Amino acid sequence: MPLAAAPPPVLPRVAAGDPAAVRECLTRYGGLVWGIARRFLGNSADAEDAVQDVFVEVWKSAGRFDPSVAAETTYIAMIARRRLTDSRRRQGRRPKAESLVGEVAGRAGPCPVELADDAAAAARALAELRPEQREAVRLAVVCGLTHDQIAEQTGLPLGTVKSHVRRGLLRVRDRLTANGGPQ
Amino acid sequence: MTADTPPSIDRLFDLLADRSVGLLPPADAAELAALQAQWPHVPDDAFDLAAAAADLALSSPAGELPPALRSRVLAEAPEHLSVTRPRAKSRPLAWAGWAVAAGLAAGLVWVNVATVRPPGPVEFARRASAVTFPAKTGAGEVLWDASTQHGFLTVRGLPPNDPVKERYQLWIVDAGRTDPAHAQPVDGGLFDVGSDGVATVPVRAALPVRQATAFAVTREVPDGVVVSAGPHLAVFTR
Repeated sequence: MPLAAAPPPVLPRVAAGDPAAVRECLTRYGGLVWGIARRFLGNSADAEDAVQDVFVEVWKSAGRFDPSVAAETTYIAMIARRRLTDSRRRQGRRPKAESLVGEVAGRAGPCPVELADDAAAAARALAELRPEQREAVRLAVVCGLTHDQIAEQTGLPLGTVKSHVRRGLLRVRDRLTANGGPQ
Repeated sequence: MTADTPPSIDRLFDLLADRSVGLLPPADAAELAALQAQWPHVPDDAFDLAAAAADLALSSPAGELPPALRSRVLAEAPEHLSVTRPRAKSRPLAWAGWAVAAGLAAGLVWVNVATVRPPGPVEFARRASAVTFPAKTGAGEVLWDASTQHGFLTVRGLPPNDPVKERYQLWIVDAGRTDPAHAQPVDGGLFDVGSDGVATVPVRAALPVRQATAFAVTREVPDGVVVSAGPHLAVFTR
């Protein structure tokens, strides 16, 4: 099945101060940021404040977006994750392993065709990992667990957990690089 | 560690991977900064982008942004859009300390910080004509291509700025501008630094630069200044 062409990036127009582009950006990515914020922070009140902070950062960083480095979706998800990681650190809290691991449904199957290029490349890289390595990456990236929490959850030694997460992300990074992404 | 990469870059990758999932211990932050200075061509955000892509690949589809929240975000957007703004009037201040720091009797040319930047810094760095100016003060580097009059600034470790109150400004020292009438400071390009303390921005001289010998960053009022009193928060020289 042929892939639909991705729409042109909207961030260059945001950087130029186009109000219509701001609205379009929110339509395209508001749900994405909202979903990440709720997952990171756990409650809607904190997530609402965080979403506003994330988009302030998106407006300010729009001029730094480089489509030759990352897909726009990935760039905005990165900004959201950075900002939300800061928020979570300031609040001094991490999700409880038992409360999140079961709630956060991961994509179990192969990469769906509607994923952006970067995410599809990441999915292919993750599919090549051993199951326990992929699970360690998922628990760190999606559930936001610490190395200790992942070790407790999976029964793997702490050093193995660190290695799995690092090597897994390195594999994704290498795949993105081969895909024309970050060097 | 892989067999064909030096240990220090493997350690850099480990720390960047830890940071990308919010698991970099504060005690390792200094080591990360030192390794980044040692390997300036490794993009600061490479693993952050990898983690974001992995997140998109592994997590459930997104929901809808609540309409009331969308309205609030839209309402406050205009004050944060980073559009190039008109410059403030000139202030008659000298840049003697700056020139001394660069070791040059040099004029200053303001650079325009563009909002769109094809090609990216990594591609740009591969150009044979691109010259690297490492940080003498602060952390980061400037890549400058005299033939095209374009470049990229990467600066790390600067405090985040509130664009409503202040912005960072980038300057080029041009040793080729010996005419005193044109050696006075001119307005500078502006950029912002987010919570990660890192900025990678394209630079393009608004006036021809004959011999770029140094670059520097100052912090100014939101609209920028024509002549800066400093101090120089980061200086890049060869």
